[in-house]
Amino acid sequence: MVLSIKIAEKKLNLRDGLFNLDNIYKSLRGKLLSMGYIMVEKEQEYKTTQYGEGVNFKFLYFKAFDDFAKVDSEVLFKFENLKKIKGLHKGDLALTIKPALTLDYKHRWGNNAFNKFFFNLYRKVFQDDLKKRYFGNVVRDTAEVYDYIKDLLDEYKH
Amino acid sequence: MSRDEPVIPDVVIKYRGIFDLTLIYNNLKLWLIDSGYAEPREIKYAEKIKPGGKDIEIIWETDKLEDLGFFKFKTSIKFYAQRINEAEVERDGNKLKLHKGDLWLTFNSQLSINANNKWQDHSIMYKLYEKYIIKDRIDYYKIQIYEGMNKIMTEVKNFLNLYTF
Repeated sequence: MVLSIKIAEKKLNLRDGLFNLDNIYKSLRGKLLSMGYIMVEKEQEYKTTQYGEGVNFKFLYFKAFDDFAKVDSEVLFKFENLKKIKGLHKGDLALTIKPALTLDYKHRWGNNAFNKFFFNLYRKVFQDDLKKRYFGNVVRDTAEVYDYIKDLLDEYKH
Repeated sequence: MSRDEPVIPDVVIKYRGIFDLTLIYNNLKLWLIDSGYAEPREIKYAEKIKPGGKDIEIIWETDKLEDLGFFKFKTSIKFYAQRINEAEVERDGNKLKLHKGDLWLTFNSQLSINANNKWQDHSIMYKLYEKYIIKDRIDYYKIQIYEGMNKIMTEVKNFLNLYTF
């Protein structure tokens, strides 16, 4: 039974920030690959409005912990009102990281009622074990990606 | 029966501004053929004239066979151009007729296994063959599709002056 569990999102909003879009775009990929993730660019949008340019990037990144669980996360950058200043861009950014954990992604435990019962029983009985093995890692990785992006944006972090 | 596994599901490139739709249309066809795909079949072409401009929707399907037809790379590309108006741009002293509006390109790729229906799906032999003998080849071809389509998408992004890795 494929079960996707959403984990708390991380958001960052900046107004009138100065960004190096090319560096953010290329460096994030390198970081995610170095963390063992597979990354796919799901969407890229470019538009011009009367207030400036708008650029959106949506990346999906995933990694399997084992045959039972994998991380399926999403990073969305929404740059708006961008104006070019000395090779950089000045404007607004809304960043959202949406992490999610997928259990039984190979669908080995949902073929019949008996399997489903055991799957749910396992989740209830070994809740702490699941948290330790998978949830903790997803939260840690999400925080690392978030801090890295803040580093790229040259913002303060914890 | 063949089985399809999605590799690139609904990857979208959205662009608003000035572009050359004719050139993208023709070049995308060439890039697909260069990558070994069959000439794309245009399964839909719809054009609507609205007060704000022209809306165009085009859907292409193409495929590529591997391993004597046991594997098939299936790809569909959807063009959706909205509020298209002709725009005249001057480049290097020449006046070019381009298009102004919104362009959405959606890419979908799948790997079809047992595409030539040579094996019976429920036979034990086929299950063993798939699980132990061709397991690595399935992964290999998925990577091939992903890399191939990524190259084509990078070409489109370069064309539209978008960000690429």
